[in-house]
Amino acid sequence: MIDRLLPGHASCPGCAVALAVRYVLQGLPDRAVLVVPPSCIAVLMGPLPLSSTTLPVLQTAFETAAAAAAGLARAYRALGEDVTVVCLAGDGGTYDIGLQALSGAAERDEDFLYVCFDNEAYQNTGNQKSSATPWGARTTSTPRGKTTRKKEIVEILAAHRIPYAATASPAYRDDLLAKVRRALGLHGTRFLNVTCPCVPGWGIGEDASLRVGRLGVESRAVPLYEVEDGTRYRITHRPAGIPVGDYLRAQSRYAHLTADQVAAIQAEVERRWEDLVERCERVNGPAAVDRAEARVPAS
Amino acid sequence: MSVDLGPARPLGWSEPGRTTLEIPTGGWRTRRPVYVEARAPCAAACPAGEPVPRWVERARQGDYAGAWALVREANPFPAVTGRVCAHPCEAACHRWDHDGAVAVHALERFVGDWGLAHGRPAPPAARRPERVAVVGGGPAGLSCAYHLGRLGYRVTVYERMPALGGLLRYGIPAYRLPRAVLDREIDSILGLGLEVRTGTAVGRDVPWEALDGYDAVFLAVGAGIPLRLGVPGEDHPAVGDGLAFLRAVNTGSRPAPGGRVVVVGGGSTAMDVARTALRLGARSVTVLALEAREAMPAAPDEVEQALAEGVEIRNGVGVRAFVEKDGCLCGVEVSAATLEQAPDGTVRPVFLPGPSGILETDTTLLAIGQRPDPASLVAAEAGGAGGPVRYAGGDMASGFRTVSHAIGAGAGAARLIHARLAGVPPEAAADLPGWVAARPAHVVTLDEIRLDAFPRAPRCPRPHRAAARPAGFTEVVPGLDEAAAREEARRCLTCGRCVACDVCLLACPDMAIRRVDGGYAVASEYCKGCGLCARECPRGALQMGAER
Amino acid sequence: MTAQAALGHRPTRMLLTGDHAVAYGALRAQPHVIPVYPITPQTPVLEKLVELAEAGELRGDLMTVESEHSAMAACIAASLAGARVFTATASQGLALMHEMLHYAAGARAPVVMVNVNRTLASPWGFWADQTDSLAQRDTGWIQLYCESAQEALDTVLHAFRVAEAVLLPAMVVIEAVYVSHTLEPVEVPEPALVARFLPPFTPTLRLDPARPRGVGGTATPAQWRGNRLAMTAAMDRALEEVETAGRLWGGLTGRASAAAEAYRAADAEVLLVTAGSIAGTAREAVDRLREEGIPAGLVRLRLFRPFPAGEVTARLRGARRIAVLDRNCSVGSGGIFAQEVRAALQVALDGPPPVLSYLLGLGGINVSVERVIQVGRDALRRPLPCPGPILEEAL
Repeated sequence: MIDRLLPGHASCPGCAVALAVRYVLQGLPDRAVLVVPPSCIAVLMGPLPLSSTTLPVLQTAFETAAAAAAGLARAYRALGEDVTVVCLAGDGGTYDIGLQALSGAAERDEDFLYVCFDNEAYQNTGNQKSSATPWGARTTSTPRGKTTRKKEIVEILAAHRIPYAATASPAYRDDLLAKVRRALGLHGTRFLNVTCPCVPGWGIGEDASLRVGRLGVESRAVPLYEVEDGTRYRITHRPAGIPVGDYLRAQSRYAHLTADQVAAIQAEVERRWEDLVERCERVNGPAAVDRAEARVPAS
Repeated sequence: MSVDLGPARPLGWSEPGRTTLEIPTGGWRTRRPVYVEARAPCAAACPAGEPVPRWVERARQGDYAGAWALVREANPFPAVTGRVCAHPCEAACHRWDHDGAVAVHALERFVGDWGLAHGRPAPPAARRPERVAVVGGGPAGLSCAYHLGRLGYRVTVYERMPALGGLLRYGIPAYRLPRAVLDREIDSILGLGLEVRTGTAVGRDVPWEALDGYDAVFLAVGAGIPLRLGVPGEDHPAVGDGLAFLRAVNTGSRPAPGGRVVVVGGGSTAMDVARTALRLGARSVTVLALEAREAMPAAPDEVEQALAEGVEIRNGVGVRAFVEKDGCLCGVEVSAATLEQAPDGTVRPVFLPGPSGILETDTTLLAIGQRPDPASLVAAEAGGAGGPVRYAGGDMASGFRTVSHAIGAGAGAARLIHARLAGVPPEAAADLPGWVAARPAHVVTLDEIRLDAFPRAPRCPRPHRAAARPAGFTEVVPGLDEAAAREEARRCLTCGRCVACDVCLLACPDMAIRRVDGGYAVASEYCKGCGLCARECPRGALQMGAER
Repeated sequence: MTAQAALGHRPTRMLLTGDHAVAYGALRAQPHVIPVYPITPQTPVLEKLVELAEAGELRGDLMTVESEHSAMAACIAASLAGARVFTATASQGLALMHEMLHYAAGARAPVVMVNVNRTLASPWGFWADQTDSLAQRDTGWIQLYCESAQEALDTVLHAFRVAEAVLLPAMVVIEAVYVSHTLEPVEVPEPALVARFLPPFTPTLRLDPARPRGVGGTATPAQWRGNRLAMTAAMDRALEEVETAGRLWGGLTGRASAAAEAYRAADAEVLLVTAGSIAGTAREAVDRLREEGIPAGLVRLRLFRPFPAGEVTARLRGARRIAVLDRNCSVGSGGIFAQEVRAALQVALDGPPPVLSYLLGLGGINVSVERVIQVGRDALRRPLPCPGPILEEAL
């Protein structure tokens, strides 16, 4: 295991994005170049003239991560150099302002791995809602809770029929690293959405981000799955199916929700889960979840 | 084109070799993570004081010699206790509600049997001049003798019976504890160079004053006086003492309790008596227990095996009287009852309203407990007046009358004797590795364990060979094979003890934790004190403390 | 005799539009990556490049992205990886790139881009107007304005040489229709000749896993200021590099160029100043005015950023009246070249000649020789002071 993220960076204490970046970088080859748009990751990368990583970093404009990564990948190929290009972006830069560039790159099947560290709002600017913010979540721009759903970014990417799209969580490092390695073994546009609980933005303790990450996954609010070629779905971790209320109650951004609202979220979570299972089974049959079954016993 | 741009050169690049290592983010910290060694609940529950997670860890690594040596730091009888201990460790196991307690009992037997086959006992420390007398060669006395012998003391064991072992030999039936196993573990203790005087009862064969020449005395003569019910007809000769029955069987006689046998009692001895009677040809055996089935003091697997062998167990009934007809005991009058615990810990029946019935019987055996011989207590209390200091332990000194309690009591007495004779503090032996901030008093709580880090894995099955109407005394429960033992050892959470699992190392967003010999160190220059490492530690071996 | 002739190089002579000439310029520069997005009237550049790539002549990676913004983002990234990068756009596309134009200059990415001047919406229009590129004057890009297809081809090669020497991006500007879609005979230089003029791009500073350094991180105010000052110093060097490139190319091809070019200016009483395609028209007007007895001359601004204030001042200082012809308009101020000329003279000369501002050909209206002659006459008799822009209707 090689750590390519170095101590001394400026993330908040207990930051799950820092952890997820750490894990992703552990999975990269030495000959990799990072592309980082404005985000918590940009803060993480260190102030000039310092760097918090042993890899080269291009910090590009907010909406341009995918375009810049595409340019880099094309340049290295034209120069005859074998370099892995990896975007590290936030949800604002991915779901919102950077979606066009990402969609364009995905359509062209540009050769890079794009990792979205999704902390479900513009956390770097102090927690304003993004299209990754879930229904009901309070942010500084949705003080009474967001009234629309979270965008299904992996579905959007899968609809481009890119070779690989997956969700991941820093609370499931092995799963995350397996997906990074799997993505790196493929060519073309590869996408990972890593849900990262945010200490200040979600209103959780500094020591709680991984625990809350687990609650999200085990409640099925944050399913872990992968999609190959936009069609072959596979659930990579079979969740325990705990009540989503356990996940919501752990975060102060949901403290205002009524029991009815929690029940509505529960219903939505179940509907999405059923839909996901159907997608898995439609293409692959019930064996689509076997990798998960191997790890989690039925109970 | 490559040109020297001088003052026009680009400045928006990071400089070679300059990293955020220049930024000491440790200054943000108000709390710091500290590695601790807390007590695992199994170890805290072990009456013999075994460092359970540590020896299980060795077994998990395949280091059976290490595991055996660690068990024997506390308990010289792992092959015995691996068979007959009531294993309260398992009831305390934090895995209990997750997927079943770790089968520590079975693992201990595996390690103990490994030791009997392959173990090389550590040689004793250099001989010391002090002499210690141990009166009573049961588990408590032998445990004390073993620990003192390892420390180099000159120990003499006085045993009234012809052979050492106490209840292990004269109480517990061979189908639970094969005599070869017992003999070999006792032999291993005697290998330390102890002096043994069997067939020698102090106060009968030698006077108590004979002990005055010793520097210390440990009394562990057990609790030999059977308790009585105190109901009419109890003095009838056909109302026998269960323990005496077992002693007779275990000394070679074969009493034939033909016909219908009733055993009164709900504990381990009652099960032994019932199952032994069955093996000796009783037509039927009925156990009368005051307790409900699940509350019986006997271990659940013993109850299960007794039932499988054909013993009938009636729960929630008490004995009102023994019915005599024509000088013969013909029945036991029983009625529904609950039990009441007296302040002194003894139990007695509270009969419920309703009719009583007569249970026909040919032989009745009582197995409701024993008390110490008052003479031995007098002897114990007589110590100290000019003579050597006397300590007492085991069944004679405690209401917790189990083998492992006796072993623990013997070890404790040895520690006290050593502390007194050598002038060292009793806790000196409990030193922990230097990098650990010791909090040995703290027992890891369930909420300090992160069970979700441990995929559910079923507890190893423990089949037994108990079959209806067994004829002989071959061992009923087989041991684990090595593969099963390793698998089971892997289930141990190793509560409260760092096993270098890397979870903390990997949970640090600031890369502030690094490996050092066998453990970890926290880089205080960078640790921001978030506490993720402590929160994520699966086993409570890392705690947040105030920043100094 | 030019070096071209002396070396036996035979340029290919072709009839090309300005857009196609630009594509041949890009072909000869051998860029590694060409991120591009189509927009009228730049489209023929893209199409010719595709044609050249299909024919196997263009080896660079032609990357057809989903927007000009992404095109420029890709250009910057590829350039910082050490690749030579070319792109082309116009009007709305350039405006969409605006953010990334600043980014390219700040990151010191020597991207070369052709912009075809076209009116900005709203309302829609497809005609020549320089406001789109002039609106980017503060982005830190070198800007070169061309009057012909041949000059456009040559200037693309100049732009690479200059940009890569000083590590600033460069924009080569031609006007819609008048240059972009007008056929002219053009000499396309042989690759071997270009190799003598344009060395390979071998930046010492690039995104290289073997020497990992990051670019574009967060700066302190002092660091940010330092970067701006370094860009300013690089711009100063760019002026020298443009002049050097013009002389060198002249030696190689006979087509010398400079930052600011004079025509019959030495003894002129009225000096016309313009940039782009009006220059050709103005040259004819100068001749006709001289025939009328009016001592007129022309100074063409080829380089706009860095602004060649010294060269402009040297050529304008002797005139009685100066007339700047702007096919652009900064609404609320007027002709943009006029403002720049006024500012340059104001600080360089004690009592500079009056600089009159004429807005001609806005929206792509044709500027005839007669119209420019009118300007020459008007300039000498227009009562002063006359600060505001003078429109065609006032002539």
